[in-house]
Amino acid sequence: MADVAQLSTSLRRGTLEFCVLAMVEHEDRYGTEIVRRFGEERNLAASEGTIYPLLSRLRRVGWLDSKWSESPTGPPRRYYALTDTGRSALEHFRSEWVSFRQTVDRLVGTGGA
Amino acid sequence: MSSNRTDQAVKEYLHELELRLTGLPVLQRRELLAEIEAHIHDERVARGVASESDLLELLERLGSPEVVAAAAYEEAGLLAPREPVLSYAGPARAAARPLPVVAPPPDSPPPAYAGPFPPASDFGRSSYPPPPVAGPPFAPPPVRKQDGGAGLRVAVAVAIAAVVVVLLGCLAGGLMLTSRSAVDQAPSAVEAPAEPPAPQLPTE
Repeated sequence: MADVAQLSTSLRRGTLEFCVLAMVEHEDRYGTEIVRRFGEERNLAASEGTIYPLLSRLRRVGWLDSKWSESPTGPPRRYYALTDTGRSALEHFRSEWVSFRQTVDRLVGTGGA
Repeated sequence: MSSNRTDQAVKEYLHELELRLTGLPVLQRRELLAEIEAHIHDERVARGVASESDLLELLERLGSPEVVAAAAYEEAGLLAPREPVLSYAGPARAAARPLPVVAPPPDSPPPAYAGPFPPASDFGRSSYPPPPVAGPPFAPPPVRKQDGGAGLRVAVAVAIAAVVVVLLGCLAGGLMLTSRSAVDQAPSAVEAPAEPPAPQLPTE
């Protein structure tokens, strides 16, 4: 059933990054924190290491900012914060996502009552 | 069980990941490696990972270096290299490169140094070579290509020939001087061609 994995990969693509943005919306977090949070969501489960390239891209496009901070246990940590453009991208996604989800629900018959 | 073996496993993991990331820009590569290393450290501390099997499980959750590298290339918008990138084209291309030419093609400026070292027989000239009064002391400025006629080519060839003669003269002269002065001042003999002592010619 390679198709199942393929499907979840496809669904993750394009949505996971907004989950990341939402995760640092109110609070700066470091990479391992973000990765752990994803680890709790079975539907989003992916190899943890693949989150870091995503964080890197979001930083390069300017949706995330990062700054170094000392860690009590080891090497300094890179804390990620949402930028203004990241915040508006997240807002845009939210409105798009609602109408997108409603359309898919209607067409696929998952809308429920 | 020993921390040496777990450290070794981490080291191997990071090394293999680094090898697979060679196609990424250096800063992105360094950033990712640092983040992965920090992640492993954080998780080892947080979960109290001590045994090798615990560590391998941690690395498994992280994903194989292959998987992480593939994600890195995808996020960077790059294609993963199939094998380490070779920066040179190989011996075939090096062999195809032409050797230094004595006479340049007519539409290119003559090189400052027009030929290989003179044959050894030229060094054997017995007469003291006169200072190059006959020719210009320096190479003439490269003739810019205009509408390269035959005359221009001849001029270029003559200029090159003059340069060659002057160079030969200087070389031979320098060599003679060094061989003579080597007796007196051996250490500076090597640098003699750069500033040859002005030969004292009887002025008329």
